[in-house]
Amino acid sequence: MRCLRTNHSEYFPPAVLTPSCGNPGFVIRFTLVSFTLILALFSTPAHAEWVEWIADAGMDYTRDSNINNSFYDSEAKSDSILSPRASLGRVYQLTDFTRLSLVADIRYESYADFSDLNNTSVGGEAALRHKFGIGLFVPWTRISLSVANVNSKSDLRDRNVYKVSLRIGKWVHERVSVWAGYTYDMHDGNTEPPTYDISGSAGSVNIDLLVTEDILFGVSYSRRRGGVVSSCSPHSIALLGDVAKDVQSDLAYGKWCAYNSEVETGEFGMEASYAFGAGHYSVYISYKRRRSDVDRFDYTSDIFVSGINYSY
Amino acid sequence: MKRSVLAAWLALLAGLNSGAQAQTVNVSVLTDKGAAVEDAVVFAKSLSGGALSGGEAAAGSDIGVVDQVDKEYVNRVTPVQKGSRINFPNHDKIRHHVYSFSKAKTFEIPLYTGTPRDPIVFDKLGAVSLGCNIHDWMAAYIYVVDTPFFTTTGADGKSSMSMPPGDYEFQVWHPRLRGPTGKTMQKITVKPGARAEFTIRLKKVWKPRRAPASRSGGGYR
Repeated sequence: MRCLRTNHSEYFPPAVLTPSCGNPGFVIRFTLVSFTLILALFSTPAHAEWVEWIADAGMDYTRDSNINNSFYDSEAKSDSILSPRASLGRVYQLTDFTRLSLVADIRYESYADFSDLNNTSVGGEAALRHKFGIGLFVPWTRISLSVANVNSKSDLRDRNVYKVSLRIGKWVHERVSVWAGYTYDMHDGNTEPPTYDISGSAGSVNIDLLVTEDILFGVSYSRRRGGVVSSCSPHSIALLGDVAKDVQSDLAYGKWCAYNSEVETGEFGMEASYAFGAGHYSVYISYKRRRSDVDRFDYTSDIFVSGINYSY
Repeated sequence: MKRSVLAAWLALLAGLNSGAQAQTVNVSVLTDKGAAVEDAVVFAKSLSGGALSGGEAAAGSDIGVVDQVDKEYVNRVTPVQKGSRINFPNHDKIRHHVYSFSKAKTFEIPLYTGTPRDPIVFDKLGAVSLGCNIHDWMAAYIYVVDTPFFTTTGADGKSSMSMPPGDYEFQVWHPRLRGPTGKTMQKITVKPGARAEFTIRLKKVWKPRRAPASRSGGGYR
């Protein structure tokens, strides 16, 4: 059985690069954003003071029980992912309480079993952070815009990802910090049908607790409504009916199908991290339980992550 | 430190003029569980009165320093005599924003690099807690006393002071001291072989952790 397109045609050829990939307008926009970010890293606007560099690196090991976001337990694929990452940026102090950070980052994901999912993500973020006064306990707010280009071994998954995020937070005790956020994300793929042209918005709350001076424990909950890309067998596509949209073949899992659907996702997370090296390093372990629902279907994922961070 | 030494020497001279020879007092501060207490300020006020009984730092005394290196304050605890001046040089290549909300001294030095032009005068007794408005984990303390005789313990919980013989009231202060400083008071007669030994209880004092967690959430970024 082949993947069935929503317009009832049968067989899909492998993902075809659409004009949007080579769209001059898109390329120009992306280049301009990247150039501006790089230029800003090495120049100082007249109205701002450069205050410090950001140089971070890290390595994550992830075990995901459902990397294909399958609605069917029998088709859920698990895999291990190794992800080195690095970022470099500058911080500009605009006023005594407001700072602008411009950061470029790169990340590589290497899948142990499904190597067609290997990908490199290159992007950047501009973030404005404001403290409402002096001292540890004043509230702060942060607004950020990020863009990333994801280049995957599976051409289907090549895309640009845009995110706008707003956060507010506060230390409520020397040991406890809380913050809440809203994020809008948009993925711009380059295939026809536009399986990876999805977007969504999410709200989250986070609480961090200092267990000891070096051990931080955090819990979080987020709720997202929007598009998610899943993969399943051609047989299951027929069962999903209208839930599955923009269906096309997905060779990363063999002769399977990729599709997107509008789901509501709740995610609960916990993390413990330990700081060492005069506060420049931390190691951490985390667990996330993700559940997505649409119509009469749902799926869950258990995601374990461990890693190490370095911050200059 | 230079200022406190000058003041102590002046006090010693006053004692020497009266025919007394300076004595070394060995200081030790431990917790109730026997652990050495680092950065404990031990200070002594003479019960004899006169030039030894306290007062303010001499005019024109050296300016003390609390430095900022690698996004941390150096030293963590600095005792000074009342009326002393302290500078806050920034030896990082980034800006810091020093502030204190303590009753003994409320002040702020907005974002700067290098050394501020004017030092801060500490003219009230008590503890001054320092922070940085950019780097929430940075913390240090200045403790203001009204006597020229004071010292800070090292990692082994020990230190020593040279002072004229006589009767003194010794006290200890620490950023994590549980209970008021006055409750640590001991009357000690300074003479050859004198020792000032303190056992104190410490409470937990928290400060934000510097190292990042995996989630790019709150904090100074």
